[in-house]
Amino acid sequence: MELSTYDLAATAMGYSFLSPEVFAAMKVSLPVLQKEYGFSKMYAWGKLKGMSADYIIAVGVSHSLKEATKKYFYCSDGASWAQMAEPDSETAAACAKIPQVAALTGDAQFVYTVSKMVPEGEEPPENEEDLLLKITEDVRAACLVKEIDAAIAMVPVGSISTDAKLGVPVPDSTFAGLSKEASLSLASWELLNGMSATQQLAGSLKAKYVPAASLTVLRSLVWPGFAAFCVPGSRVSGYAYVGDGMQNSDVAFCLP
Amino acid sequence: MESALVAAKAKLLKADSSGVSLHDHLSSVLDKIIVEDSDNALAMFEQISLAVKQQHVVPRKEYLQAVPEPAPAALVAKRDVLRAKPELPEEVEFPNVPEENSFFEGAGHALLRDEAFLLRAAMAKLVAAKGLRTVRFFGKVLGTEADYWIVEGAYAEEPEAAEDEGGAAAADAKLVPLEGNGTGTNKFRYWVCNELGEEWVELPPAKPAAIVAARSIKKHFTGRLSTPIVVHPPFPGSEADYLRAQVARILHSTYVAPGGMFSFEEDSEDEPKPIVPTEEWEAPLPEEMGELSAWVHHYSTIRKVGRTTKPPKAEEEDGEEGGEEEEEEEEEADHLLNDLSADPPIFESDDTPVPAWSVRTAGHGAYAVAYALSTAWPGAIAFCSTKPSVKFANVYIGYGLENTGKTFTPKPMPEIAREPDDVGEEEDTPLDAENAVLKELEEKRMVEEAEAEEADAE
Repeated sequence: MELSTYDLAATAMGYSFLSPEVFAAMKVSLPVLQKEYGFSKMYAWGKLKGMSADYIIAVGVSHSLKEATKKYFYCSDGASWAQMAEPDSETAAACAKIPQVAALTGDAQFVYTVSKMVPEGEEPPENEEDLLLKITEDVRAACLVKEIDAAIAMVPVGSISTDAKLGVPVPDSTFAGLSKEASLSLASWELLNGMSATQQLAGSLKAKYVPAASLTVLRSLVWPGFAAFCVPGSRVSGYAYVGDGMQNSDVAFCLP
Repeated sequence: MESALVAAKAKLLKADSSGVSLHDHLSSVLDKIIVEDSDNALAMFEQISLAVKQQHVVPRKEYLQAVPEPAPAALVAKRDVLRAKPELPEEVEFPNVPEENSFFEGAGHALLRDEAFLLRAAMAKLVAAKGLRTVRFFGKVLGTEADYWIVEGAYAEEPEAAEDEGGAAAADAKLVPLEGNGTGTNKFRYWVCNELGEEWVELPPAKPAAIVAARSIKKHFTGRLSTPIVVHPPFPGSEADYLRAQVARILHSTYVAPGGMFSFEEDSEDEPKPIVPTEEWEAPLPEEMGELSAWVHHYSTIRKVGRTTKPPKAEEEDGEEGGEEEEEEEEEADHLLNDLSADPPIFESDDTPVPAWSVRTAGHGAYAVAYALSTAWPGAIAFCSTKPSVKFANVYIGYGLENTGKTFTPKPMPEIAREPDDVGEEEDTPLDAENAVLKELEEKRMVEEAEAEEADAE
């Protein structure tokens, strides 16, 4: 979400998830970060909860959230941002082997040790130590953020279109927002990879309208802590994630 | 000539889609002008015509947009709650909701600021309407269709009807009896609503069977109290009972207080001993509160049976069974006033263990605030601020589900009952033998009657 729509995001989430201290810091630090990196826009992405501290995540884009080259940043105080690692597929696969239940510690330098995958047809190395891969928590956090963003982050259909000249996704200037009825239909929402939100596990993504805030809210049960929102009849929309970074693998049992 | 006139008149008399002809309209307009006797009829002609037209024209829907929609009922209800400002008796323990919320905000786990003020007004309305002695914001449980706002409280005077309810439920002797009002898991009552401003609905009392069943399921809340809970093993009750069970489990597992602030009442003869505020207690420094050992549990563990205390002794018939159970129960430890470092971790591992709690501090120096966050019940959080005076509070904002540290495994289905063994055939009793037995019984009865008659005669 854009930081200016924080109250809407908090309403969608069900609670206020940025402390006033962090929020105040982000108000000044995000515009600075945007200038330093030359982004067209900075978004507050959400928060990965850790044991001793949380990772506040922001994302900067050149054109729109759909572009592949957007950059993620993290910090714990809302001010001291660091760019997140860009893990390759091997690292991502190794990260996936860290037990789900192992909560983030909150220490970016914490080291996880996982065993490497040996590609088929290759001899495993003689030295067992060579099989072990060390992953620091900032890399793990980067993997989780990327995974969540790819798996569930969504925008209203039509809000981002491909620019004919540049060939990249850009905000659609003709997009006038969704009507209330349309915003409550999953068909009006698409994931950042272009997949329709209707392809989510049936019943795991629910849209509801909050009359007191004139807001349409979508929450995912597969990724508890993910919420998207839009103000029907306006261009205002966004999403945020606040959670431990874990997918709810028990979701099939949990659906009411 | 005449036919042309007829044709023209027929044209004027032709009704349009709304059933009115130009002839009718003009007649009505002229009628209105004459009746109202207007001086400037010519200048007003268009307005008069329009006014007449509006009487018989059915407007099309798309022209209706100018009519404002009524304000959303939810907003009106909220405004009315904020307007009410009921007078509360001084003895009511009423928390400073917005202040507590501002402490929780520091941990990034709080209500929105405007919601906190609205909540205070809604709680005041509840206290005034029900005559409560104490009230506290328990928290928010997020549902798929709506969220629950949950308020905890106790009546100044118990309403009579409520006691009957408990009695009826306890009447089923097979079930473990509920804990009485004001004790154990039923120490408080709970009221819920989906949107602040709505009527508060009281939850049923906590039932041991529901608490036991809730431990073995993992189900999201919908936000509708009457939703049936479709699970295996079957859950006794609707979502209201499930919510009440989870509230009890959350309260007893995660409500924590600064260590030393409360102690057992040594003189009490009750078992377990009740806890009371310690008389001479020095508040710890904020950095001391940043340790797990500085926080203690404030409510007893809920036992396996679904109560905080052992159920009252069973009837003599099954005395033996009762005895065995009792021995088992002896082993269940109570975490009341134990510090949090004693809680078992939810995940054990050499390099990445996950303790049941994490603590952190925010702010600076003496005015720092310490927080304890539960990992077992994500969303349960407590704060403690020691300057200028000691303040602490607990709140829960989450999905109402426990983090067991394991993948959920549903209980296996019971084995399908097999066909019973065939019952062996028995030979028919011959009629003679049957008659002989009946005759004997009849004769015996007649003899007894005769003897009784003789005795009466004497």
